[in-house]
Amino acid sequence: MIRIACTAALACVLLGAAATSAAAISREEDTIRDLTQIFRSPSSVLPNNAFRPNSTLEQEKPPVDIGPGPDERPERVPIRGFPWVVALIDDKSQPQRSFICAGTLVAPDWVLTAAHCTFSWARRWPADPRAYVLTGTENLAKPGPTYAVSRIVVHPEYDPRTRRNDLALLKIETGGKRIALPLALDGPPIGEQVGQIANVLGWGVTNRSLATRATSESLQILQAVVRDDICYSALNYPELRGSGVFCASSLLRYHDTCARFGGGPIVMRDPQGRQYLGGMVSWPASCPPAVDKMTAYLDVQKFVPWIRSVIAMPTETKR
Amino acid sequence: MRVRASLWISLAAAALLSPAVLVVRAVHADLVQFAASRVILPKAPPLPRARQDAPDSERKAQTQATAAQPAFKPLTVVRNKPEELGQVPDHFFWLRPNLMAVQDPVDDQLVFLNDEGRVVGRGTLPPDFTIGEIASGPNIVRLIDKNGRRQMSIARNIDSGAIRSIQALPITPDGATRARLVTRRSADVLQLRDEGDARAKPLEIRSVTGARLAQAYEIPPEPDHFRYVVSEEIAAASPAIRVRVFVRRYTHAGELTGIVHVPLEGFEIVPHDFISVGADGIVRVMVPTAAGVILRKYEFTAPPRAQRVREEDLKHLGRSLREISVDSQVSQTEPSDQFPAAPAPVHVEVVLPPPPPITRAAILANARAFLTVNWVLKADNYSRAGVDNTCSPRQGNIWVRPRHFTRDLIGKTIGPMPYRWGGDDTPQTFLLRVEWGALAGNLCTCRDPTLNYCIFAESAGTDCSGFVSSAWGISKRGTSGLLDVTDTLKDFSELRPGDAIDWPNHHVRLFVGMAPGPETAFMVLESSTRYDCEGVCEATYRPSELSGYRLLRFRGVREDAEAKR
Repeated sequence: MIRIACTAALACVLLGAAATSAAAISREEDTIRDLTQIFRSPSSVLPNNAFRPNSTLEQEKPPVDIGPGPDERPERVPIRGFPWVVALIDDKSQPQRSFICAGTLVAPDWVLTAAHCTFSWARRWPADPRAYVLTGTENLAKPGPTYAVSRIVVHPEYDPRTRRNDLALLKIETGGKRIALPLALDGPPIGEQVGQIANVLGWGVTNRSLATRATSESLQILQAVVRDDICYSALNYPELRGSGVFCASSLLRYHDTCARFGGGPIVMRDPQGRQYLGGMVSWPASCPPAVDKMTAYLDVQKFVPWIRSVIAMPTETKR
Repeated sequence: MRVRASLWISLAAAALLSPAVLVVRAVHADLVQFAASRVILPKAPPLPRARQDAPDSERKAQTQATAAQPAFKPLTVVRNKPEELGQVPDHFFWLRPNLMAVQDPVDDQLVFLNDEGRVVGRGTLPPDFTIGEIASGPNIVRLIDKNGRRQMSIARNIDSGAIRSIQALPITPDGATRARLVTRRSADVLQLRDEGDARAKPLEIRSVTGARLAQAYEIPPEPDHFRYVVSEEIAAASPAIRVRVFVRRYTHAGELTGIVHVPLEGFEIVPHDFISVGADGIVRVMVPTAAGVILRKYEFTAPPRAQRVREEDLKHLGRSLREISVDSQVSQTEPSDQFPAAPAPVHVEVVLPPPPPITRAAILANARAFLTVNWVLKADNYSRAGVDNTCSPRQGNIWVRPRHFTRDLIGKTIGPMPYRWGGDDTPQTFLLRVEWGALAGNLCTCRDPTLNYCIFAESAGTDCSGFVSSAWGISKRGTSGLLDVTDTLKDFSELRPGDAIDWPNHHVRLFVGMAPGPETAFMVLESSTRYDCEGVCEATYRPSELSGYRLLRFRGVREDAEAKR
């Protein structure tokens, strides 16, 4: 408490002293800076609850007793049902250890993922990028065909501090080979999906599973109900309202996208029952509280024009 | 005040301990005209005859004496690591036949070497003495402090094995730094005038290859008939700076009688003073390599007849003699090469939005603010229980305090921001984080992703690329990541303050201007791990020291005139 008071006082002094420069950073921003210095995607490190406003550590503790009934865990699924889900790694020889994020094939040689997943690659820091995409991989220990990433296009308005516009496109070198059928981008807007169940895919760890393990090797599926923007009023992510995100909550008790799900697709179905890319796991660096069980996901539909423009752009004018 | 006090202490200590130094009544340089001095000389071999090696019997005796002496610690080379500049020996000079000296980068001691490359002595320099210039006389070599106020005199007949510490004295007003006047005649001609020597005629130094002649400086002449001039020519600035170094021999009448081309291949880092000529007329080049220090020897050959020497004919300028391996140890911080900066198998193109515009004035203001952070070192910032001041990442120790932070500094206000590996603090965030109790700086680096690159989050400061990124107003990018937001300049004449001098995957410096004077030297601001900096500092580099660096212009820079419109 004293520290917070000191910080506020200092911030005031700094603000007063440097009226023209940017405001002094907050403790939360400072924590984000530290996290980004981990050089891995924030998705692949353990969650940091400093990201979640007004949440306390007590709320985040996994419950000892989850009540009657079996402990339903996310279902492991075969990759053949979801061939467009890919894994991002930076060391071909150690796919489990170097797993960064999930991604979605949205064109024959383009993968959509979260911008924060490309954090160290796009900055070439602390090493030049060695970026690969694993396709056809159900279990990271048994990787499928691997393709090198040759171009990284981060959304021009991505802001790592505010988490806005957290998406990036990766071009992969397929050598003309058709690797899988891409997932459709076109579909109804998120407003028409409220109350519908969507599938979240990835090699992540849920809140409850985090109590026993920090990593996961198998592709899993989580079902979540689309809740529009209700989570903004639940003291979560108020600053994200209107910035291209939506809320959804997992159907499994105490299991929600918590760690290592970043960049993973949220697959929805249009009225004809056709699957399309409705959303993406953006900043799961904090676990949804056990109480309101809701978190914010990126609304991919709002970014379809940008995605298409990048894919259509001729190579030589990309810079 | 602290520095001055420590100077007095070191003066007193050195006077008591060292038998091999000039001892002067301690008077401050500001107050003294010239202090009366007495010389205490140990039993030392007589001065050798000029231009002639010691006779065999004498050399044998010296070798035996050396063999009887205790073994001295070898010279140290700290290798370059990706994103980190290594530390190499510097200030190399010849003293007498079979004896040379060079400064060790780790303990700053003056290390004496014989012709076989063996270390035959070590002497401690005062802690706050930074060698700026090497001047020479028939019987002594003078090392002048960077601020030009003090000097150390090394007698040529010094008993290197007996010396323990070397004392600094107020500089004498008798022209210890010789009055050299350099005038630029044209891009490829410099005139060198030695006003301290009536015999000496002005030397007209012409570019050998026709490239811009950047530097021409005399290196300590030995008691013989010749003057030796080192010249540097900038052969190319794009894609990286390429420098040609020559040593020329002139008679006092100003006649060019010999030349040597000194290739810069194999250098881990090119030091400031790495060439010396002995009384035997042999050019000695101290080369810190990745495997240790070697001494290359060259003999002068006749100067070329052609006005312009072609690239392929440079090898005929000077004759390479034997190469000697020097007693040296290469420091490898664990685990150094596990993740080398080898080029990625597929070059990844990063497409970024245009960076936010910034004026050059704003860049320089941002950068200079790092020199005057004026933060107070608290006990919390100095040490923390449970955090060892050690870099052994495998054991979980990844924090090393900058060496110049001592317990005495607690409570004191410090100007510049310290170096912190992986850091990208701005002055504002730095103040806040030290207020929160972050440890100040961190010099422990590693390249192992499994060790999280040795990033110690609870420390504050900035590293080289963090500093340049902050100056440009962008989020931190690595030294190769900066290439994505910059254009490479084709010629150094295009360099303007606010541009960068970058060695991708190693180090980056912010260019702030050309050094005043006719010679071409680059003034920079940088955040460096170098022990004489360990944070953000100002420095001036010769072109040879920037060999291999690229000249970069930030794409977001808005020329000041453009900004005013």
